[in-house]
Amino acid sequence: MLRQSRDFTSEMTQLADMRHFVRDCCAQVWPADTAPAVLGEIELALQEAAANVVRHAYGNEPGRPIRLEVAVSDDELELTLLHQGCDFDPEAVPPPSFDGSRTGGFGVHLIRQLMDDVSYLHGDPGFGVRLRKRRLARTGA
Amino acid sequence: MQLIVDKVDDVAIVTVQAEVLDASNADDFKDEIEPVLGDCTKLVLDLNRVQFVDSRGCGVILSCLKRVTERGGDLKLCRVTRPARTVFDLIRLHRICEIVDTRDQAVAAFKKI
Repeated sequence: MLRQSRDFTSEMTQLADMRHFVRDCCAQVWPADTAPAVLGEIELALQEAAANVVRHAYGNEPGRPIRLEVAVSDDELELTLLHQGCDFDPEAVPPPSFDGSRTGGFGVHLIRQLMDDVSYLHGDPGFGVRLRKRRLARTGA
Repeated sequence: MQLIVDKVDDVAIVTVQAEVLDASNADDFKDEIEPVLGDCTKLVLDLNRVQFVDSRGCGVILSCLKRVTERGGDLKLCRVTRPARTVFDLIRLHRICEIVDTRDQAVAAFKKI
């Protein structure tokens, strides 16, 4: 099991570094032939979750702390984003509109579609979100 | 972000010269495409170089679609990379915006209207 963490700040320009950090962690544990689509889905879910922290938890205020904790086992990745901003209630987010009438509101939907498990943290050690994804898609029974 | 704008008859083809279209540069994209949207009703976005799109990137594409359709026009997407296509499928963008393989197909799609 690989466990690493890194501190970032609340700017959208930090998101690429977050994605690269997680990709590097996965590359240290997972085989080189891991499906690119799986890594792409992880990076996109992380992007959406981190952008939500910047935009909603911190109201786009720059320079606020975001800690990214990564745990990678042979068959699963767990990402935890911790912040000190406002708590986030995913249930308060209206469902996305797919008819073109709204240009936003897809982030939470994407995270849920892309990851195997999503949980929101509402207290110690801080507010945040935890995402889990298996390296291999679960086969049907 | 750099955009390259070509015209084929009355169709504007905008090539996005960036590998990402996301929360970090979506506002730049909006600013730079604004002059193109001014009087455009037939718009093509060539996304061949874009390897990463997030929901904010989808949002600015949807903004372009709204702008042109408000004037009775339309937007086509072409040369969409596989990672970008995955995101578009998840937000069902293909249901409201035609996605084709090539620039020629995108231009031809306007002739059918």
